Amino acid sequence: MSRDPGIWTAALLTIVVWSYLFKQNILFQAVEHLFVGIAAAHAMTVAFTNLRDTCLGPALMGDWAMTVPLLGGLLLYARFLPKISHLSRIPLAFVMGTAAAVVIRGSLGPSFIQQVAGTIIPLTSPDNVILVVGTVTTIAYFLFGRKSRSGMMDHAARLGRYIMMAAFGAAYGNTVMMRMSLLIPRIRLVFGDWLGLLP
Amino acid sequence: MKLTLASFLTLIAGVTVLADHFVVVPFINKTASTFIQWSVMLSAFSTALGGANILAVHTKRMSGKSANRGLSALLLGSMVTWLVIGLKLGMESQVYKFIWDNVYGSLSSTLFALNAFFVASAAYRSFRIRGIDTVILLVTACTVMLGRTGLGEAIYPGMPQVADWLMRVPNTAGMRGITIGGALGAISVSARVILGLERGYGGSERGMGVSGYDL
Repeated sequence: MSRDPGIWTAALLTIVVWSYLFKQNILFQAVEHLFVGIAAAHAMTVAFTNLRDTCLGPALMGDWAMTVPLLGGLLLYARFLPKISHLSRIPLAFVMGTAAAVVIRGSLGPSFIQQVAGTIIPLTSPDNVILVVGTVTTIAYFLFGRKSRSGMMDHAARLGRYIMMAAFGAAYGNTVMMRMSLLIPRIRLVFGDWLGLLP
Repeated sequence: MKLTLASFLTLIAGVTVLADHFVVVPFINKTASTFIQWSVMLSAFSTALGGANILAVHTKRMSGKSANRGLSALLLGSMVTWLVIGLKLGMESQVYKFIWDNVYGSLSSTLFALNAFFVASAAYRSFRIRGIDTVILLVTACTVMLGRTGLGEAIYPGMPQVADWLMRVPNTAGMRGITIGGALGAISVSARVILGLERGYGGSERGMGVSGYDL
């Protein structure tokens, strides 16, 4: 059996989480709250460290451009003061505008143009035919412009649904295997590193 | 379309950052990169805002007669303690690393691994054969799972190749169609946000619904 306090901590927490498989219990709830507390604290530590290095420090050194996000950031907290809560919309609106433009920039290239370009391939093999037909029919499934589909569009949409089902099935299988690959090291930690039962 | 201060700021920020992607004008490029930098900083402020919300909700729960006030105390205790350790000793300190490796790391991977059991029971409910759709779903999922293990290869030696083909061809086709559709959706929603047609993010139409000001 291990004498490492780190392994003891990790193993005991792992067992408490697994106890949920039997039934909901107070220990699992406690560990769940502990996790949320630690995750929130970590996010805030990272945020504060970044702000100190990139915003607060330069602002104190006389970089006036950095006072704008500093003031905007403080305005976000106005939502806790009912009389001036509306002011928190100002920085939020700015962030939303920037984020929306960044989303358009990101979606245009990799998610749209490159995907369309990747579909324009010669139909010289069965794989290529499935790839092109599958992509086009999947998009056809999402064409909701017309109230009722008929003829070719109906067949294309149905084929698109089958292709999506195959994609979802494959993605599901992959997800299960990914979760298994996370589970195996936990089993190894408890039965191997902690209890010493595994070679 | 009503132009308010908030929607004006959204428009200016959005158009500048978008223009930066298409034109090479030093003033626009520099302004856009400053705007993005500011937004990252404002997002960091909003992380602390989330923390402040957690603090407010759980302090209220602790002061009431809720049966879960002990759990709230544990959440706040762990949050404040770790925050103090992180800010006082730094993220490179031994204590911080110990908690990160053995508590946070351990809990996050075990909680994710817990899903392996729940997806199995969810699959049992959703994979019951009701039509051709579920047959396709069941067959592809089982083939990919078996193809990724030794058992599948023992049943049929070509199983890993079939699983790879399923991932490479039908999965790519379906996901590509969904990605293109998603990109078009994201672009249209983002354009609506920039143009001020979508303002749900700011709460109610009348300010924050409390003060009555319309910014």
